[in-house]
Amino acid sequence: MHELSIARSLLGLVRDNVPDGALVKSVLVCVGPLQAIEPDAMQFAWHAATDDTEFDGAELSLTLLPWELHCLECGRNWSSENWSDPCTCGSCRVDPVGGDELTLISIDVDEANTIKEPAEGSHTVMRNPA
Amino acid sequence: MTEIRIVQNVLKHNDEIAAMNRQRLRDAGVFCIDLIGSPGCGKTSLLEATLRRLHSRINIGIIAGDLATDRDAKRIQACGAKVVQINTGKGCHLDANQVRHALDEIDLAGLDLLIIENVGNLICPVGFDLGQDAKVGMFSVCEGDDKAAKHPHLVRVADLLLLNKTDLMKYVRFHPATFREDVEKLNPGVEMIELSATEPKIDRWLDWLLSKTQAAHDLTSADIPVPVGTTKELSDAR
Ligand SMILES: Nc1nc2c(ncn2[C@@H]2O[C@H](COP(=O)(O)OP(=O)(O)O)[C@@H](O)[C@H]2O)c(=O)[nH]1
Ligand SMILES: [Mg+2]
Ligand SMILES: [Zn+2]
Ligand SMILES: [Zn+2]
Repeated sequence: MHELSIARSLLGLVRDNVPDGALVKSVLVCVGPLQAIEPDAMQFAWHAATDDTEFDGAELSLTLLPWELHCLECGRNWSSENWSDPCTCGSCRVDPVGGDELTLISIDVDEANTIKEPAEGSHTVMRNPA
Repeated sequence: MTEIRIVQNVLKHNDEIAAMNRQRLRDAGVFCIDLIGSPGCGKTSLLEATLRRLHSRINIGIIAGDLATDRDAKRIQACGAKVVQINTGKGCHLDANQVRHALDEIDLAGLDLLIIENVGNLICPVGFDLGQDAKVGMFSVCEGDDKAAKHPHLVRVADLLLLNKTDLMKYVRFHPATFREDVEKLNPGVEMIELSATEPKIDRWLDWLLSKTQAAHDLTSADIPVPVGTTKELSDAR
């Protein structure tokens, strides 16, 4: 469950970057396959981390990046869900490139609305279960 | 609606603290390892055997991360090392901040090598930089020869891989070639050492440790001019 630590760090980073009083609608994060993040667990952790904070209800939008593979024989580059794919040239000498991304890309805020107290029971909807 | 562009690493705060840890260790000429493996793969056994062989030759400190109990710390202490225990409670990995606090309790100037036994877990600890010089991934033959393939994250980032309990190879279904093939695909050229912590058959591991420790030590003595008479020698390490 490293998702919870990641959610807490994410919350801190969002807090550092949002103007006072702005209402956060959604948060976009890109995740490489090396981070071994389980989307459902990540959504759950984000919900737990933001519960009872000023970001309660902010949607977490996760983009899961595929493996980026590079063939050491023919030089072809492609993306795949599976790191152990052989190349179309028949070679199994395939090198996964990068993959350790864990990046907060952007935050959507509604600056017209200042934060209201969340209505009772309104915070249980889990949006965007990737 | 306004979009605020950020493009920053989510673990930025952890990474910043890890960089501070790394600088402290480098300034003190300490070589630091983050040892990552599943529960029971033999991490503590390897530390015990390592300490028995090396503690009269170099100064070794251990940070032992564990969910609960100080049993590992006690086992290690009995072998003559300075141990700082971090009980993570429900936390399934160590982070840079926990290590920072542990470093406060260690006399780094008197140390050559620091080994951090991470919480037994092949997934969580991988993404958290602690400030180590090398991440060492540890597997054992009892876990099966498919474990490298199933934990590509650890294999990919590891600077060294250890395969433990090779004395049990004859009792379990483990094909070294399968394991090695997956490792080679994920992390071409990475060094892999087969060992047995309890026999103990760990010579190659000790050689690796000693050469890396010596290199870290030499680097620091070259970097920082030290007043005559205060140079810390790696006391007859060889
Ligand atoms: N046969 C054999 N048993 C080992 C070896 N290394 C560790 N063990 C045993 O594996 C169990 C777990 O070891 P431990 O060091 O506590 O693992 P840790 O959880 O990774 O720290 C203990 O019963 C050890 O005696 C080995 O090389 N060979
Ligand atoms: Mg242990
Ligand atoms: Zn964890
Ligand atoms: Zn190819």
